[in-house]
Amino acid sequence: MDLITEPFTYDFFAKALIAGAVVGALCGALGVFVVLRRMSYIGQGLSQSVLGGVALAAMVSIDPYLGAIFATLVAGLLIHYVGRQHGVRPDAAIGIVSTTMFAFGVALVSANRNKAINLTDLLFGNILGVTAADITLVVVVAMVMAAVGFLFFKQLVFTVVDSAAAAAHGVRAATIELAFTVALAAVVVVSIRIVGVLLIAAVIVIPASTARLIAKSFGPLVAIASALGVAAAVVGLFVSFHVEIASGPAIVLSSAFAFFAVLIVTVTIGALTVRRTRQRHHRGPASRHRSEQSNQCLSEVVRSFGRATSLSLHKRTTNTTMSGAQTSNAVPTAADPVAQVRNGPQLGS
Amino acid sequence: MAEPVVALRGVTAGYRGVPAIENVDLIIEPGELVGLVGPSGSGKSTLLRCLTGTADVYAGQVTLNGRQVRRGHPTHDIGFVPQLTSIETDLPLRAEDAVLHGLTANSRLVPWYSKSERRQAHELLERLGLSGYARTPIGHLSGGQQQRLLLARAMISGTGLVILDEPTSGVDLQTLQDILRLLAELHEQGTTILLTTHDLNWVAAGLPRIMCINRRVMADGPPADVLHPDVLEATYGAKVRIVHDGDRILVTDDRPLDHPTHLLS
Repeated sequence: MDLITEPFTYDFFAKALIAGAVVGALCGALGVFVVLRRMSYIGQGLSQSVLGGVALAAMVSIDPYLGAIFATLVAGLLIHYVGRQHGVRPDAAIGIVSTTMFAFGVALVSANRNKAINLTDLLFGNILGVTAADITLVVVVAMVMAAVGFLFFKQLVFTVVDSAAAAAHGVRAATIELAFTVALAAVVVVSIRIVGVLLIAAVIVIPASTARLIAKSFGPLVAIASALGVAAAVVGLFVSFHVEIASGPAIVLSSAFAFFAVLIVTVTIGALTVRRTRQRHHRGPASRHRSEQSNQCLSEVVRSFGRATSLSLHKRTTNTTMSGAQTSNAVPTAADPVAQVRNGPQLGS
Repeated sequence: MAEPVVALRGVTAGYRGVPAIENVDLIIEPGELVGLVGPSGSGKSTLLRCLTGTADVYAGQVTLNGRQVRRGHPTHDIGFVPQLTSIETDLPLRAEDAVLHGLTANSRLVPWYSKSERRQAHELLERLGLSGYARTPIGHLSGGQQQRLLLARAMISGTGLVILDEPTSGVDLQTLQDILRLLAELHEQGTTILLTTHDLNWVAAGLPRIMCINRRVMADGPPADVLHPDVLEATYGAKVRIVHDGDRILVTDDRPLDHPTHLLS
């Protein structure tokens, strides 16, 4: 019991838990769309870009967090814009923008060694550093995301499935894609304190990929990914506290454990299903005979049901023959191409 | 006189400054069924994308029901069926939900679809012979079933205009006939249909009006006028023979009919 209650004797833990759970839910939900758009490394790219902003903030002596927000938003917009240009694939855009901004940050840091920047916290996260202001920011971002996600969920899903068709059907697909990139940048910024720059991609991608192994439609997929994100954050923070390791790696390792556990279960179920199917097809004649008898009984039921419905089906088929549409029972043959034309459907009049 | 559903007047359009079609005129009146034919790269899909607002229009005017179409400003006037090969099927998406996407632009701003919207989707799935597949992931459906699903998605929005990009490519004969019957049914109900096709015999020859394009309009009219050896040679750069049997037309290669049919003979 102490394992659960002891961490709460420290003030920072409750704050970290709240922030971690909200970040986990946010990253899990957004991660679904990141993974399905095949942009798994955008989280990594955005977080790497943070260094440029943090170094710039240190140069002009403002809050590094503001620099991080600025850099991530700029990186998000640049990735969005560059990735839509002819000849530049989205993954290449992520690589170009993130490494450029990272290099910019490194250049600034190396040119100004007298300015101290705590890169360890930035890279690996620090739950001790979570403040009440951080929690407020995380919760506000989460509420905005939840509201926008609630209102535009259908538009977002259609855009991810087929953006060209979504645009043709009246959905503002380009605006949705841009808003999604901005939302992702905001989530990356609020996640840095908890998981650090280097591991943000993992908390975005792993819960969504785990959920993808289980869920068959978008709604459950988002719900499961969010729940897994929260669970990984909670378990990871407890592990981080008791084992005394950085919070970011602990959260990512918890998430990865869940992924491999689910993967092993789904692969095993798949293998068992294949084995059962093989066994069914390699049964002896007696067993096959029993199986055929049972199939005959089933066929009889289906036939009797079919007799009841065939009349209406026949009527519907007949009615679908359109004016000018000439259907014929004559079967066209390859040797008679004119017959093929004669018997082919004639549309319209 | 009623406003044309589709009007392209002197349209030059393409992508990134490179025109794919030049000076194209196309007027489609309400209830018409029109096919676009032409070789690969002739600008058929670009013409369709002018209507969906996803191509750059450099000159001329594109209007849908009298309203000008502008890039990036989608209209709600189109049911669009993309090429089957452009669809990502490895997605967690059930057939029923895929059809409901067609209602997204006009649906309430909540994450779910209403009961009446779901009923509409089920009715369409039943009409298209997919009633047993409502909860089947789209990746588990055959090519023909996916094509019918995309058609259902276009139909559910209830717009007066359905445009289809290669609706019969990659489908088997049975599905091809099913799709043609469905289109004929839609046409009878007064829906305006514009489709592209490579299939001159099964599809184009059976349409009431076809337009031959190869960057520009080569011919426009009923198949009897457009499917002419000179027009097709100018469009495709291939010599063909046209066989007439009553009011039916067959486009074949220019070898005599009694010539052996081996490909390499």
